Amino acid sequence: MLIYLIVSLLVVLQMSFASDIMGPKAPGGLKKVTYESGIVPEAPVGYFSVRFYRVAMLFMIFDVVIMALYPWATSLHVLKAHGFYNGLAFFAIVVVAFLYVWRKGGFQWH
Amino acid sequence: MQGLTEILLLPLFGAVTIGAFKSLAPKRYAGIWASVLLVASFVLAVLADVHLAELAAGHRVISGTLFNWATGFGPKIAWNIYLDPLSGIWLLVITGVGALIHIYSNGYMHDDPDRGRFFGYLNFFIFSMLLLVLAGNLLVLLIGWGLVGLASYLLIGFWYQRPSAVQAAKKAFVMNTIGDVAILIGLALLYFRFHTVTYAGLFSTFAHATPNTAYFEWTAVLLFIGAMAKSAQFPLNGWLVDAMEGPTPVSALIHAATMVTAGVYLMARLYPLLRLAPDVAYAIAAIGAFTAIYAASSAFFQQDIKKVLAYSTLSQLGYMFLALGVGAYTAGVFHFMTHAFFKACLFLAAGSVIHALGGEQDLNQMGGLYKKMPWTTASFLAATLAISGIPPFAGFYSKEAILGQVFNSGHGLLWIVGVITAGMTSFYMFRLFLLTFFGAPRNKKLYDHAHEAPAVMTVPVVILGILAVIGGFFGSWLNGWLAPVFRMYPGASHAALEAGPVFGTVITVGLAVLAFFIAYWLYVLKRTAAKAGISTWPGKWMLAAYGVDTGWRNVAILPIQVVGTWFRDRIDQGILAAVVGVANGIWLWAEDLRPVQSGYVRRYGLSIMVGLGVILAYCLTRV
Amino acid sequence: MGYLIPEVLLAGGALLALLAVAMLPNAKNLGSWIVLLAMLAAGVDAASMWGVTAKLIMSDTMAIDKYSILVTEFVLLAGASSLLLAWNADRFGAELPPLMAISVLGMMTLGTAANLMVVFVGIELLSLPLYILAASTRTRAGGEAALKYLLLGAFSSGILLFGMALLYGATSSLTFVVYPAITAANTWLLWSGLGLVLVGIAFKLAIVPFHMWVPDVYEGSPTPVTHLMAFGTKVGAAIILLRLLAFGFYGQDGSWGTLIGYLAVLTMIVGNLLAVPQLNLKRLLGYSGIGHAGFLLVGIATHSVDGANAMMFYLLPYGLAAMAVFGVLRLIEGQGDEVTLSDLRGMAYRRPWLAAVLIVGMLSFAGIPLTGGFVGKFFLLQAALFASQPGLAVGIVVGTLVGLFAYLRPLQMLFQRTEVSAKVQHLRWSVAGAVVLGVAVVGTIGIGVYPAPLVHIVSQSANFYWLTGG
Repeated sequence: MLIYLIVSLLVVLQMSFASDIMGPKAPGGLKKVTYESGIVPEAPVGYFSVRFYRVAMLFMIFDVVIMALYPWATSLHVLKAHGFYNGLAFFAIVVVAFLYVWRKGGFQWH
Repeated sequence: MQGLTEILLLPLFGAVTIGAFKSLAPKRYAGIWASVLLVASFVLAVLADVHLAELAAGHRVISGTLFNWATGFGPKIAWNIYLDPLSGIWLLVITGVGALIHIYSNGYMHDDPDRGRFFGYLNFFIFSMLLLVLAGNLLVLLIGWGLVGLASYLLIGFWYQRPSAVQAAKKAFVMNTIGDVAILIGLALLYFRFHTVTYAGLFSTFAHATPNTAYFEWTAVLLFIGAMAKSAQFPLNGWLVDAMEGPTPVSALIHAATMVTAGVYLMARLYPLLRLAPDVAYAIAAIGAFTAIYAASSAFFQQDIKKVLAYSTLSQLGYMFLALGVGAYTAGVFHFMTHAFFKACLFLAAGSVIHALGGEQDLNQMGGLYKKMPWTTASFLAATLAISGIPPFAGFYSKEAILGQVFNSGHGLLWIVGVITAGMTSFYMFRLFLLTFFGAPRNKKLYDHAHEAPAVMTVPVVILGILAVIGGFFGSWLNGWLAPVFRMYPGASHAALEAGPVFGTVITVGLAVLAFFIAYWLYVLKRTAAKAGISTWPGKWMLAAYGVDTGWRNVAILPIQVVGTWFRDRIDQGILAAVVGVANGIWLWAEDLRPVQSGYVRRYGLSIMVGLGVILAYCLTRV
Repeated sequence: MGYLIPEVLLAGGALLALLAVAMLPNAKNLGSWIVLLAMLAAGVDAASMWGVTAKLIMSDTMAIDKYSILVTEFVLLAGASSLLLAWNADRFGAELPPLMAISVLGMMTLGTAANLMVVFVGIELLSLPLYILAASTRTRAGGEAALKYLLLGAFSSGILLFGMALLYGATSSLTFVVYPAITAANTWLLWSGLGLVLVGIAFKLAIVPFHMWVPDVYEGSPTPVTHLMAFGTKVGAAIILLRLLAFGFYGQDGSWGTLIGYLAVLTMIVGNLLAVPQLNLKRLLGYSGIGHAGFLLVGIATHSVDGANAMMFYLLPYGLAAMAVFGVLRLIEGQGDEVTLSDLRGMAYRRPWLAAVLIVGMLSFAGIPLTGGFVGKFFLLQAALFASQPGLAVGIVVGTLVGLFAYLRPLQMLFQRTEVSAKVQHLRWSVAGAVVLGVAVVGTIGIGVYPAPLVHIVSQSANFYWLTGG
């Protein structure tokens, strides 16, 4: 057990530090440039507006929720009434969240 | 329960009503109301004791349960109330002397704008003290014990405008807390071994226990530390002298007659435990004897009328512990009783003097007061004779009872210390008496304005003075009264009052009389000033009580301050730095957790990782 | 399904409040009222289930017993008191009531959890709203607190989840109430998993050395939210730790008992020690909360019915004292978020009643007789000694003594007569605050003087060993 621990620790350390110690180092240059799918990034350089993240996040959330509705809908004949109402309850929660975001102006860019 | 509940609750009721209505009712009613309640409590206490006396000698116990405190986890614990001849004596003294001091306070505190608060506290103290004494188990006793400490703290610091009073209150609180914690641990040891804290339950197990085991020694030591703190035995004595910052009736009630004897009560109550821990019993006797002589010598050069009395209280408490340590339980209780009479009388008379001189406590400003204050002088003289052990005054009988049993039980060295202390007591007490009441007035202006106290103050003083004269004649009655308490167990062979050798009495009384003549020669014939000798080497030491206070400061307080400062400066950052230092070497990659605003989040994360590593390592060694 | 009505009520209240906040932004306190009523209804309904026979529901993932019901009542008290402390204060934002409701829902879920997945959902449900609430005043300190809490919380959640995965690998079951039947073999997989899960929960409970976030987060968060963290989170984390260890790993106490014992002593002493030099009251209470988490661990470490009882018991006096102290803080701070020791100056003379409440709370924290805190510590001490673990007892005593210094320092400031601090002078009472303080003081002293009823209730609820063997 102890040997196992030590070996695993060594392996971890090796993985952490080997590249640091042995790899070539070339600081500066292109390494400082933002990585954009291999393409040299164009303007605007700097931060994206926080609105972008907000919209993306909301999109993600509701997207995933809608995705969950598909398997529910297709398997309703197995789930029967119990599953149907549970799904509705879930959907109700989503609707409340949607209403909240909508009323708070979350879907507006400005 | 024969009115025990009422005895207990009347003072609490007083404290609550005074607290609630003190700003509504006229100021003088607070004192009258408090006194009336306490007198009622005293009457009920007498009735309860009479009832107790009517029971058969072997069954003199009244017990009951106010209500169950906690049942469910482990053993049942209840608010037990318990009255036996031992607590009966304390009950009478607390309510009786307490009532007299309450009445006296009506005069003494007459001009204080905050009288309501004073009487509220005073009633609260009486309630706490009664709770302590009437407790049927150690837990309730401990609660009473804590509450009297609180009341004492509040009353010492009553004049909170004075920084010295606040300081004294704090000191008393801290030293008492040491004792409270010790008692708590001792109580825990008893409880977790025997699963009970009631007296009856504990004593029945003690009866079959093997003496002299480490367990009993430690328990007894811890409980004794608590008793030492409350009764100001060396080296936890520093707070009592400073406690004189409180109003004088408080000094009389709490710091002379009742609260400081709580330690005596605890040890007398737990005497079966002392039988099981003979080494501790001897240590109690030795510490008592040492405190007696140490405090007596410290009193020689004091300049403050109340401080002399404070040191004499210490010294007399030392006698009581000496008695308990050698197994002379009845003698110790007897001395407690007479001491309550004459010391309360002394303090109240001193209070009258202070009152007459407009708050002056310095002996250098007094003198010749006997012409102006005859009643006070007479009472003070009676009490002084009593404390000096001159026959037939009260202190003679009780002190003789103690010294006789110390001699009978074969503690020769302690007996010699006790006898010498008796002579010293006589000297410093007569020094005090003569400097205050005789000789030429040292401060003409104060002397001219001095006057006898009003009747409301004089009457209690005179009553206590009379008790100081006749208190010694209760000895044989007390012996019979306490017999069922202290003779239940083998080993209490010196519990009863027995006369010592005649030559002992002769020596003790002779020394006391000799000391009186020395004091008379020094302070009346030679007219030595009160402050004479305080700049010499022994005088300086004795005045400072041999530097015990400074010693405490160096031994206990300074290191705590140093450590506290060190902690404040280092630890918060230091722990972080240490963790970072260790962790930086191991997890360089954690640099990636660079925080956004402060440099610390990554360190917090590292702390978690270190802890995780330790816990995992621990878990894996358990496989 | 009727057993989950309290949870459903609270969830419905949260949704309704969210809807109300969105649809009627001008209705003052509407969200708070909805959530408060939902909490009261949930509390009443949970209490009405007291006679329930213990059972597993929802495919053996949740346990309904007197333990879960008592936990529900505790966390609802925490939630309701936090809500009342935030009453009428617009600056915390209208979303505070629904978020608090969701957090409390997470704590209730932990009380019923019999399955590791439910534990995880409960912990996340508890934490996520708190991350937001910590920043609800939109101050710089609040943002810092929220970000730290979020980063470290996510970190510890990862550890917790990893541990659960290992436990699942070792036992092929996520329902930990059946573990006693199948964990007879001590494998390293099992113990690694348990170690990781312990760390994850210990982070929420603020056990040394996983405590570093507490003072910063407590200091930066608004006071009602800090109160919810101090009372509710502690209840939630402590009770799930107790149920998981004392139940799921019933037979292996020799392995984790000692570990928890060491952590308990370390936490008690370090937490109280670090509380001593603090000048900011919320930081002080943060460290004091760490110390109290150590006291709670004692009950778990003894691994006995006495210990479980004592820990469950301790939660209520602790929470009541927190209500008293945070309630007073809330009144003092006014429009600010910070209360330092010097802000208490002169309070005993200017605001004697409020000072009295603070004294009661602090003394209960310190464990002075006649307060609930003393009784709680007494039972813990009793449990430690009855379980023949004197080391734990010494830890309790040392921790208490050190804590005494920490709690007496603020009280000392109350009696400073030289000058009255500006915050005390401009202090205004509020009805909601008075309700919280009244309940706190009556409860603290009530438990201190007459703990028998609570002892009775707790001793019925902490006996959850009935499920052994599934």
